Parts: sequence; structure tokens; C-alpha cells
Amino acid sequence: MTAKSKKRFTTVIVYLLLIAGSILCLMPLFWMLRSSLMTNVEIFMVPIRWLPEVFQWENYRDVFETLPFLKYYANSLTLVVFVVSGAVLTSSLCAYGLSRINWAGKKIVFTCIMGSMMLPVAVTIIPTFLMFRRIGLTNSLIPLIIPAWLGGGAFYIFLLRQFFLSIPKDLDEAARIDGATHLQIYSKIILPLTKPALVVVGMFAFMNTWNDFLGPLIYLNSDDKYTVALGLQLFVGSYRAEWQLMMAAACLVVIPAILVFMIGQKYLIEGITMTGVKG
Amino acid sequence: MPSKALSKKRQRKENVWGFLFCLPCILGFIFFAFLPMCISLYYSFTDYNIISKCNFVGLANYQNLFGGTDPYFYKSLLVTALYVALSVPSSLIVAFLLAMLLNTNVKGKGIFRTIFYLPSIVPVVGMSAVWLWVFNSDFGLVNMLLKSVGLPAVQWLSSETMVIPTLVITNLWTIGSTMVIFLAGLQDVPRQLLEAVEIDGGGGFKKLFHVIIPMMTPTIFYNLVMGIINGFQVFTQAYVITQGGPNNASLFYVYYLYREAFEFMRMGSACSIAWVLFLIIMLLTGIMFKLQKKWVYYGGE
Amino acid sequence: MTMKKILPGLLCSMLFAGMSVMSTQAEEIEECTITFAYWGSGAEQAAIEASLETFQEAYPQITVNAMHIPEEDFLVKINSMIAAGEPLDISYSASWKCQFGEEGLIYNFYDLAENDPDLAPENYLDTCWWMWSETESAGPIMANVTPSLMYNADIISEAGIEVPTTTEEAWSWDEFVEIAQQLTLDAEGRNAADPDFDPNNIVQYGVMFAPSWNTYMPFVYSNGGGYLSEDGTEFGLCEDAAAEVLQNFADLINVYHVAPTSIASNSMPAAASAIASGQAAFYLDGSWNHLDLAEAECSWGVGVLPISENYTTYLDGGSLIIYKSTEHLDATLALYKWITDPESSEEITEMFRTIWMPVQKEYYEDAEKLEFWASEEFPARPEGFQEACVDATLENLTVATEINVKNFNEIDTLVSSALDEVFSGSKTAKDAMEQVKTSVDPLVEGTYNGERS
Repeated sequence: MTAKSKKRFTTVIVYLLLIAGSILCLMPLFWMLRSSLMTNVEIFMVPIRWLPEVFQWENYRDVFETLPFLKYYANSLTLVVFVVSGAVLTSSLCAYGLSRINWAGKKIVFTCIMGSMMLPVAVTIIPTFLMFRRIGLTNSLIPLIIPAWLGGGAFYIFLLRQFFLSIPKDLDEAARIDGATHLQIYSKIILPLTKPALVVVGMFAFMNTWNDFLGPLIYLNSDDKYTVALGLQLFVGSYRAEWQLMMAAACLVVIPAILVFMIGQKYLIEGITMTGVKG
Repeated sequence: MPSKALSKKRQRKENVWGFLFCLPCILGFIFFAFLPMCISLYYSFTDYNIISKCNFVGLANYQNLFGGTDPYFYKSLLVTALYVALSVPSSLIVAFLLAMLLNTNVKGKGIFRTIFYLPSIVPVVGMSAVWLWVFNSDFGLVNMLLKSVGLPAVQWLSSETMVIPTLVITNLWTIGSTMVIFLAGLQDVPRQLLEAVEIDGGGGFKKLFHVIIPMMTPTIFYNLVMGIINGFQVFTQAYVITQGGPNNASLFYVYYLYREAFEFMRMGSACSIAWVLFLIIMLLTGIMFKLQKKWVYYGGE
Repeated sequence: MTMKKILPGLLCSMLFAGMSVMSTQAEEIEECTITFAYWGSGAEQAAIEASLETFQEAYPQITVNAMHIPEEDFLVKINSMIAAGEPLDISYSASWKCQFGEEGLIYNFYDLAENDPDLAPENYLDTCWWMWSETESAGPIMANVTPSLMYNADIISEAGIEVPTTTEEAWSWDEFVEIAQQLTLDAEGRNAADPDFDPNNIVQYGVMFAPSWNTYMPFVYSNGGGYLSEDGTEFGLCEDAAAEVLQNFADLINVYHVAPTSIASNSMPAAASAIASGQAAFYLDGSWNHLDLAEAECSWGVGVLPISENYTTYLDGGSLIIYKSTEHLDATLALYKWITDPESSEEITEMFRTIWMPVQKEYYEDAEKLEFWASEEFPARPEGFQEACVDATLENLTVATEINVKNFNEIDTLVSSALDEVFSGSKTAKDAMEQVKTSVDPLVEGTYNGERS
């Protein structure tokens, strides 16, 4: 009985913590939503208004009227599909090469990849842009996609490598003795075992691409190629900022991201069942 | 025992495979990291300003930084180091605890996970507007609450001493990715080990310190390294919320660099600033990798 | 939209003016595409886009590739385009244009004006020139704004106060502080002059101000000070005449408690919000707030700045720069004229009746033309606007600090950080300015017009 009531007590505590945390986490979102339904003046009123006096639904209509947001959605989606698939595939290949194969260049390649994270983007973005310009690939989404298919970014490689390293070696050694090639081990053993990590990489690649605006800013020269994150920046002007429209746009931008996360997190749970395989 | 020749041949084969697996990222590294890095290293010895031809100036850019001619360099280095020292541990601990909490078997787990990740996907512009509102010292919510219970108001973002701690607090809303990585790591903790502790009569703490944390060291290590790399490159908060103020108290290093490159149009000098940062991060990361052998446990080794 | 209020007669004259521009040049320009880069909020963007459409109707052979770029990142984008040699013909610009001028990337406006009587320099206000050397100009300001004292008319009339709109009647600083004290109220309804006043529970501030050079420099000039020293070789804000003004502003916060403590410009409510919600009785900031105030549909007004002697102020704004890389100068100039002409199209006219003020002399000298954009019938032009914002400004003009002081952007980055300490009360203005002088002095290179600023 005592054990049971103790357990119940713990459950209550856990729920309380979760609910308190949820309120804190939802607060910024709530604030965005409520601001998106106010007039520009009402947003900053003191004493603070929690809800708009009159719900300004037309702010959302205005967003679509001021900027071609649907077009931006389409561009962002195209970009995201190519980036996420490329990043997951090539970063996992590379992480495999850096964790499960004992080859001569392993150390140096890994050091280089780590090093590439340490130089701020601000100084490499222009040289990279000039390179793409030289091969005539600007004003398109291609320069934003190619890097994803060439390793996808050091963050993901490093992350996957950490996960791959924690898988016991005897698994693939047994497979090797049975004559499996590296490609088979990679696709039949390692990938299924690290599905949660792959989902994480996919989600991060999605979020980073979805919210990145410096890349699109540099590479895109016409409004009709803009992405949602870049479109969002356009609501702040030199003399005035239409906060209500920006907040409405921000809410629109965030919805697909929420959906992706809700779907993605299911696979995180699924991953639990896999752990049984490991020794 | 395989003969020497055979193992040599086998090793050669492994080399080929390893190279092939890594080929995409090697190419990516060469084109999107190595070349731009070389170019920026070269620029750091010039007065390049993007729009015109550049002249070689030798070590002048570096001398400006270390010689104290540049009024911002040391200040921003200090500010950033302080931020890293406060934000990395706080975000790691909070993210780890949240991940533990979200890994318990409660109903609506998926919904809670989504909610806890939400602040990380909110666009920065939206988020920063919230912080300006919450932490405004005259009109903000936090001070309103403090006053209502009789506590003195705090100057939060408008005080030189409080601005970094305030930004460290707001940073806790962006730890969703760290949390998710921990969560994914928690899935890899073998259940048998946990059950073994239970059979031995061990409680929650024993599980945490003897099984969970040791098994999680690779992810902890990852988050630590990334926390430091990203911490030193923190930019948006200064860019969007504080503009480096008050009195440069939140002049983060990369914001200072960005300003140098794109506001004052001194790309050459910005590159030298970037390379100083590169060396600092490289050194710290190198030390961490050296030390990891002492505490990080890889099941695959 | 406020367009409803425009008199139909004015509409006609406007269209007519547009037609005449078209007929003089339209045929001579060949078919081409020009790239125009600009920034601006949603409303500004909508106005520019719509106006570009009418432009392309008037000049069917010109296609304008308009690039709307976030202002914060504008220079990054422009720089990368120039570095890559991508076509760019004309764009908005901030003070970095001077460097562009020195590098030979943009046209000297005076050269362009020589071949085009429409652009004759004497058509423009004398103080509006962005220069990068004594003889070379990046053009006149494209549209003016000016420092402005705005107020909540309900609060003011309730207190029985009348805000002066002419320089002769302008308040002295001390009078202004006294009034601000009366209008600052704590939660118990006591004003800031009351000995029991609780500065920690203020519900209505007497005055809010944007803590930027744009706010304090008119006061510095009027007080006989300058951003630079008399001979232009040293930093000037540390001199007594200037430091006194800066200290006055800091005292509003820390001594008189009539202004909020969190004054970093992005943490304060903007003028329209503060005035419309009654958080502030007065607000000192740029005239660009007038549009938002008009749209907030509150009762508001404008007065002259509280400067009782030697009233000095300025008009400020960006300019449109024309790149030397352009291959279609004629078409680019046609677009230049279109955007800077208050009468070129409905949308541009609307901008000049709300946010912008014209730069061409005739719009100030000719009474009819003045009415065209500054009629106090327009919602963004309240009663007293013509006296307080037009006459008082025009008669007491100097060149805006930002335009005249060399290296201004970089110097002001240092200065505004140092001012944070003054406004927070941790240092006196004199001390803080003297301290920052050592870092500022190496950057001081004088002014573009050779006179003190």
C-alpha cells in the first residue's frame, strides 16, 4: 500500500511539474497569438491586456495581402524536403564512416568536421556565395540545398557519430563474419537501431532550414523565391514595425513546424522498443 | 590469426570503404568549410571591405585587437565568456531534468514533449518581443509581479549587471533541441541495467547515478561540446533584443563581429576577429576531447 | 485608408503632374529592366509596390525588378550583390553610402544634375545633401523626417495646458520639466512634484523620449554645443554646453522621475502606443510616428520642441543612390524622379502626407503646394503641424548630425553605449562623455560641409 501511495505521490509531482513547465513554455506562444489579434497600439498597452478587446482577425488576411505568403510556404516546403532528405542520408553515411569503420583518414576527417563548426557563418557566407555565383547558381534554392547533400552539416554528423559509437561492436562484427558488407550493416543494423537519432537529425534539419533567413537573404534576388522566415523579417520597417502583422505571420510560420514535431516525436517513443536488442 | 598480408589487404579495403562513406562530407567540407576558411584567413591579413579591392596589411588587424585600439574586443570576449560560463551548465542541467521528466510513463507524453519543444521553434522575432515585454523594468510582467508581492523591481535588460543573467534565463526557453537529444539518448539506456538496479534494491538516485548518467555520457558530451561551440557564437539575442547594450554589457562576440563586417564594412578585421574566436573554441574543444576519455563511456568500444 | 479624405481636385492635379513627367521623356527610353532595392514595413512596401505598378504603366518599356529587403540586413545583401557583380541600379541607403561614394560605386548626384534640369540642386533644400566629399553628393534626402514633440491631447487639455507651436512661445527646458512633473502620476494619483510621490509606481509618465542623437541634438545645437568641437577636430559632446543637455535628459529619468528608466529604444513602447494608451503625456521622437498616431485614432497633437532660445533643428532621412554599374541610367533616373516626386502617384502622395516630408523647396515656398501635403485636414497632420513641424523647422535649419559628421555611424555606436551609463544614472554626462572621448577622437575627421556640427 505504501509503495503504491508513494508511486501515486510521485505521479502527482511529475504532473504538477509538467503542467507548470507547459504554462511557461506556452506563454510566448500565447503572447504571439494574442498580439496577432490586436491592433498595433493595443499590443503594448499598460496595464497589460491578456486578450484583445476586439479580435482583429483581419490581421491574418492582411498578412496574405501584403506579402505572397502562400508562395513563400511553397518555397520553404520545397527547400525543406530536399534539405532534410539530403541531410539525414549523407550525415548518417558519414557518421557511419567515422564510427564503425576503422580507416586511415578517420581521425583527420573528424577533426576537420569539428573545426568547420567553429568559424562564425558571418565570415564564410560571402566567400561561399561568391563561389556559387561563379558557377552561376544564384537566385535559386540550389545553393541552399547542395550543402545538405554534402554531409548536411557538422552538427548532425557529430550527433549521429555519438549515437553510432554507443552501439556495441559485436553486433556488426557478427554480421561481418556472416559476410555482410558495410552498406548492409549500415542499412540493416545501424540505421534501424538509431531511428530516434535519425528522426532528431531530420527534425533539426527541418527547423534550421525553416527558420533560417540569412541564407535565403544572400542567395535569393527576387521576392517570388523568398521563404517564410525571410518574409517574416520584412514586416519591420525603418520607421515603423507592424507588430500585429509580424505576429500573425509568425504564428503562420510556426504551425507547420509544430506539426512536424508532433509527428516526429512519435518516432522518439517508438525508439524505446528497439533498445531490447542491445546487450 | 589472419596473416599480416591478409590484414593489410583487409585494412586497405576498410580504407576504401571509409573514404567512400565519408566522401559526401569530405567534399562538403572542402567546398563549404575549408575553402571559405582559407579565404577568410587570407582576408584577416587585409583591409578587405567586400566592395573594393583589398590591400595586404599584415598583422595590423590582429594588432588592433590585442593592442587595445579596438574598444570592443576585450569587452566582448569577456561578456561572451561570462555568458558561456552561465548558460552552458544551466541549460544542460535544465534540459537533462526536462528530458528525464518527459521520459516518465505519463499520459499525454507526446503532447507534453511537443509543448516543451515549442518555444524552440517560435521564430526569434516573436520570442524576443515577448522577452522585451516580460522583462521591461517599468512596464514588464515580471516586475509587476515582484512589486505586487512587495519585492523591489529589478532592472533586468536595462542594467549592466543583470542583462547577461537575464539573457541566460531567456536562453532556457530555447533548449528544446538539447532536451530532445537527451531524450533520444535516454531511449538508448538498456532496460536490463535499470531492472538490475531495481532487483538489487536500488532507488531512483542509484539508477540515475550508476546507470542513466554513465550510459548517457556520449550525449552529455555532445551537448557540452555543442553548448560551448554555440555559446561562443551566440548572436541573435544581442542582435534582436539588446543590440549589445546597455553600455556594451551584452556585446556578444559574434554580434560585434557581424557589426564590424556588415555595419562598419571592415570584412578584413571581422575575419581576424573570427579567427581569434576559432582558435579559442578549437582549444577548448581540443581539451574537452582529451578529457572525454576519463568520463565518456562508449558502448561500442 | 486615409485616402478618402483627399480632395478630388488635388487628385486631378496630381494625375496631371504625373502625365507631364511621362510625356517629356517616356519615348526616349529604350526597353530595359532595372533593379531597385528598398526596405520598409508592410504599409511602405505596399505603397512602393503599387506605385511601381503605376510607374510601369507610365513607362511600359521599363520593367522594375523590385527587391524588398529587411532593413537590418540591407547592407549585407547589397554588399554581396556588388561583390558578385549582380545587376543593381538604384536603392535606398543609409550612411554607408558615403563609403560607396568614396569607392566610386555610385553616381555623384551633381554630375547627374548637370545634364538634367529636373534634378537641379537649387530645387532642393540647402541642408538636405548627403555628401562624401566637398564636391560630390550621394543625392539629396529622398524624404524628410524631423525631431518632433508629440502629445496626448486629452491629458494636456485636462491639465489646462496649451502646447506652444511657434518658436517665440516655445517653453524653456525648465518650464517643460515643470509641466512634465505635473503630468507624471503615480498609482495614488500624486504627481511628481508632490513630496510623497512614489517613483516606483508610476502609471503615467510626463515624457518619454527615444535615447538617440536624433532626439537630443537639436537641444545641443540650440544650447551652443555640438557633436564635434568648434574646429571639428575633436569630440564635442563632452563640452559643457552639450554635456549639460545630456545631463538634462538623464535628470528627467533619475532626478525628476518623469521619464521611464528602461529607455533602450526597443524596450519602450513606440510613440503611438504610449500616447494612445495614456502611458505618456509627451513623447520626443521623430516625425515618422505621425502616421501610427493617426492610425491609432487617438487624440494627439504636435508642438515645437521645448527650446526657448536659439531654436535649431534639422530634417533628416535616407537618400536614393544610383549605382555606376547601371546600364540604363535614363530609366533609373526616371524611377528616381518618380519615387521622390510627391505627386507622381497616389501611393507616393499618401506617403508624403503621413510619414515623409518633401525635400523640394517649392513644397515649402508655394502655399498651394504646402497644402497639398501638409494640410491640417489630413489625419497625420494635426492642428499646429504647419507651425510646429514645418515653419519652426524650416526657419531654424541646420544639417542633420548624421549627414554632416564624418564617420558618424561608428562614432555614434560608441557614444550611445556611453550614454547608457548617463541615462542609468551611474555616471554624469560630463564624466561619461569625457571617458568615451579617448575612443572617439581617433575616429573624428570633421564634417562634410566644413562647418561645425
